[in-house]
Amino acid sequence: MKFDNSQPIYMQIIDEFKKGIIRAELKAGDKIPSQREYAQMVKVNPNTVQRAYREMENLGMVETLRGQGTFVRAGEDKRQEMAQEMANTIIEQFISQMRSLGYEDRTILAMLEKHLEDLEEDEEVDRV
Amino acid sequence: MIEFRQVSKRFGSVVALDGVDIHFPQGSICGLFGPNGAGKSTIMKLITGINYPDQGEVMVRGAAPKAQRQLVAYLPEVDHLYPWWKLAQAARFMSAFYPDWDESRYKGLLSFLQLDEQMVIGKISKGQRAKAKLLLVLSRRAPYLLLDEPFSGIDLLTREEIANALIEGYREGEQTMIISTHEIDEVESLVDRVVFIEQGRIQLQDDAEQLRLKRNQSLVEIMKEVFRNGSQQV
Amino acid sequence: MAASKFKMFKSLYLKDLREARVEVLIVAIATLVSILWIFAKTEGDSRMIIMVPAVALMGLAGFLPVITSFRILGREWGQNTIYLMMSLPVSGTMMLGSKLLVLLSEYLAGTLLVGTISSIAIIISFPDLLPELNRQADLILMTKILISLYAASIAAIVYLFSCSFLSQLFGKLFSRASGFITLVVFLLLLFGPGKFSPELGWNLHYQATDIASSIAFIWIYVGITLVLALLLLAASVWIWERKMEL
Repeated sequence: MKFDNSQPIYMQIIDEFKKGIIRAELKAGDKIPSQREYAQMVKVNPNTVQRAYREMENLGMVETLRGQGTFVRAGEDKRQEMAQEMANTIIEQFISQMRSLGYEDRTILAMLEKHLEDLEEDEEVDRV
Repeated sequence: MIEFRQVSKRFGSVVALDGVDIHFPQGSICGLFGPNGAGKSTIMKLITGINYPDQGEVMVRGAAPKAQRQLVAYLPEVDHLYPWWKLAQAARFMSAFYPDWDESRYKGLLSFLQLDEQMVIGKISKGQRAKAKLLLVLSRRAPYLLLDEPFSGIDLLTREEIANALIEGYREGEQTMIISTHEIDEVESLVDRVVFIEQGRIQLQDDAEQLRLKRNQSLVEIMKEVFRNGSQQV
Repeated sequence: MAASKFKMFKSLYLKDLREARVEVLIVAIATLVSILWIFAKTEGDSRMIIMVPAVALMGLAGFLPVITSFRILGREWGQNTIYLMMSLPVSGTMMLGSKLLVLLSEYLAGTLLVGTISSIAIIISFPDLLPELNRQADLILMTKILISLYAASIAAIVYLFSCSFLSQLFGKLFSRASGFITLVVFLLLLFGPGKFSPELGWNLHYQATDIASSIAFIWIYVGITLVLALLLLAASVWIWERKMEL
């Protein structure tokens, strides 16, 4: 995994696990790598990984059972909540960035629809 | 914890450090960044007790560095091992002086770094020698680890191996590691604290993640900016 | 803790012993070769000529350790291993003490090798010599004289080593003209004490009226020299521990 070095790495680690849970690749009860294993896997400072894991516990995403390891705790409700939250964040970022370029909301909406239509056509072409 | 209070050091007419205050928190991996001749090696030598400050004081876990030498594992920039030593001899020598020497860790790192005990230090490549130096330092469970330019003059592949060995051997919370380098991209995700130094003065010291959060920049970008501004001030 | 201090000292000693190995080997080979050569070329009384290489080699065995004393310390800087030595958690006493013991070992090994080999060669060549000596002279007294002279030579060489250490460490305190300063200090230390007390030596000689008191005076000389050497060593340790920087 490659990190964007201009953003806090522990946040990127959390996002990575969030995405895994949202896409249902990680389900409640699944074991995730230990902090040490994960640090070695992604070649990141173990203190940073520790920070990410601690934060994920606070967020209720995972729980660490003494002597057994760290497990995904988020159930379906939590998954949907997280999906919603992440989607909201992305949309908010999108909107604020578009607005900062001077686009009006109506134009933004129109552009988005146009873009999605184009994408759909492209994908149809691909399928044929 | 390592603390510098108003430390100045000069060599002849050259000012190596000019009234610096530095705080290396317990259990962190600190990057000591700056161009060549910025004062990085002097900081390392002051912590090891092989230099003395002209002014100010350096404290290692609350005492003078000279009294804490058994707590510090020091990898100097120069090749400091006897060229006629076999790795095994060097290891036996080190183990006589440091009770924190960990033989099983030594064996593990030996194979991790693809080194052989029978290698003669003066006869191996520069990259292997760099790994040998690292092996001897990391085989100790020392509370303080000082690595002065561990990547200098070493090929990319070996750099990666060294970085991996550092993470592999690091013990969270217990160990305080200071890595000095002018090649930040090698350690970008390895350090959690950074000290930028230039011409004997500290330009910036902070938590690495805080800096990224505040400035939306990578450490490499931050360094470029810090040193550009720093030079302008002079 | 005592055991581990011993282990540290042993490690330092064995590491530096390597520096003395070649010199002892040179002395041993030179002794054997020259004596075998004389054995091959001469017969009968002319074999007394063995004394010539024996004395010369004694000189060599005493001189080489002085060379080693400069290398054993200087090399640490030359190979940058001084960074390792100074970061080790050991006192200056242990560091310089182990080096001093190496040099002393080299001196003892060299001189005893030359002494033993040439003595054996002479006894083999002149089987009558020993019983003859026994009849004419007091062997015990002779042994006493030999021992006191050997002790005097040891004291002298220890003083030389101390001069070497102190002058080198003092020289290292200067970034410029370090070698020249070392040389000047070395010569000062070597000849200084003799210049300051030229009468002491002569008085000792003249007051010695018989052999027994001569021996006693030699031991006084040994004591004074060793005290002076210890002072220089203490100064060296002080520089190593308090002043030396890299």
